Amino acid sequence: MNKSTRNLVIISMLAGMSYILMFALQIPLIPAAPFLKYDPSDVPALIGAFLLGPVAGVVISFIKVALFFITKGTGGPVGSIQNFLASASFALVAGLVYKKMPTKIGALVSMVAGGLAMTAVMHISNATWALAAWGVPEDGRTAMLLTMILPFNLARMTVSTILTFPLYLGVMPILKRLGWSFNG
Amino acid sequence: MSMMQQITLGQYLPGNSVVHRLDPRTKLLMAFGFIMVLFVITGGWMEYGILGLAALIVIYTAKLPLGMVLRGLRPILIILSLTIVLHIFSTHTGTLLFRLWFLEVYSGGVNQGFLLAARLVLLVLSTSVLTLTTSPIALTDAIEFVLKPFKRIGLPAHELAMMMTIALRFIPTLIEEAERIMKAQLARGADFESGGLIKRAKSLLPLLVPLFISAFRRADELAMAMEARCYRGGDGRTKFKVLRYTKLDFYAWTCFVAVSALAFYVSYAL
Repeated sequence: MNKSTRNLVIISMLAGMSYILMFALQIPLIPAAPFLKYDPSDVPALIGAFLLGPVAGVVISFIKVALFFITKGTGGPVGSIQNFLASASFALVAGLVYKKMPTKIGALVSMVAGGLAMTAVMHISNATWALAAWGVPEDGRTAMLLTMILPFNLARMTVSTILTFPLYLGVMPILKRLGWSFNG
Repeated sequence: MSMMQQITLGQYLPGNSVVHRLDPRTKLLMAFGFIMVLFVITGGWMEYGILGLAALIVIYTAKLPLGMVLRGLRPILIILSLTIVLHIFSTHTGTLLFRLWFLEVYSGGVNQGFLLAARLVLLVLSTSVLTLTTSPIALTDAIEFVLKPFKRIGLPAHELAMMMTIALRFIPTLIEEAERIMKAQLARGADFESGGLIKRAKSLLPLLVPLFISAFRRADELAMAMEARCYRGGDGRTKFKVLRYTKLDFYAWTCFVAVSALAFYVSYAL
């Protein structure tokens, strides 16, 4: 069977799962910032990045956000763009690192690297345009970046890693037993 | 399971109004255009008044219940109030309105806070109206059209739209599957709803592992079915429902350009 068709469908399924997980669980991680909510939608993107490569992770993030945009449309464009940037940078860097180190330890290391990349990307994009777009006044931005957004993203990385790692450990051997091979 | 029932696919309200009948590409591009205008003009009450009035007219023509449109603002309520409060207490221009212990409230701060809140509300309204009047499938088609020019730099427009369509179709199936697995695990004594964050995350595993495996199996079957029907990607593929612009789209664009021009005129020339 043609691998590209199968990969296309797998990415679709993971994106659908990501969309569902986005609604299944929404909890604020930082008590001081109740508007920053954690959802486990990064998990399928990470699994996709491990199985099919970093680009798949980015595509899953894109479809998740695009689906959210066309079905709900709430929260406006700023939230959607930010959501994509966060998930995509997380999955992209994790996928890149995992490609070099496709082991259990590698998966763990890659998720920490990806999470740090996400934290950095979110810091930069919030500092340059997103907070301004949300209308946060200039002298409040630095404090918000350091006390809310930075800890939130680090917490997001931690929870996503705690969720994804055992899932990865659980899913991989079963896929292997079913005789599935994934080579990008 | 309660949390699964909250996921309803889309908020599209079928209808036959002028706004509903517009080409989805027109509506998508107009929503983007509206957002651009909002960011480019220097915001004042006049400009936002014009754009807000235009938005209200669209909502009225589309026969959308106002309550439903306003419900779309709920996710941004917290950040909206935060923005207003931060501005009220940190912007010290204009006249001093009153002093609350050590907090001083100036008229400039109040004005600035509510102006930015108005912009945020308009931003969210634009996408809300779009999704309330356009079905997800029509919007997927529109997105494919908008992404097509980027094909040259390697963006697979057709494949992305295809994946969105497949995901849309399988979301209800995956939810059903998740509910079934959940019930099966509950029958075995699983506990999904108590404990702290880590414990709840751990309790999700017996749900997620089978869910992922079954999704992979479904993907395999669907890919096989697509191959059997000779799916070969986007080249040479024809469509059952072809998007066509009508006179309505022309009138809509005329109105859009007129309103934007007016907003620009008020913003820069007055």
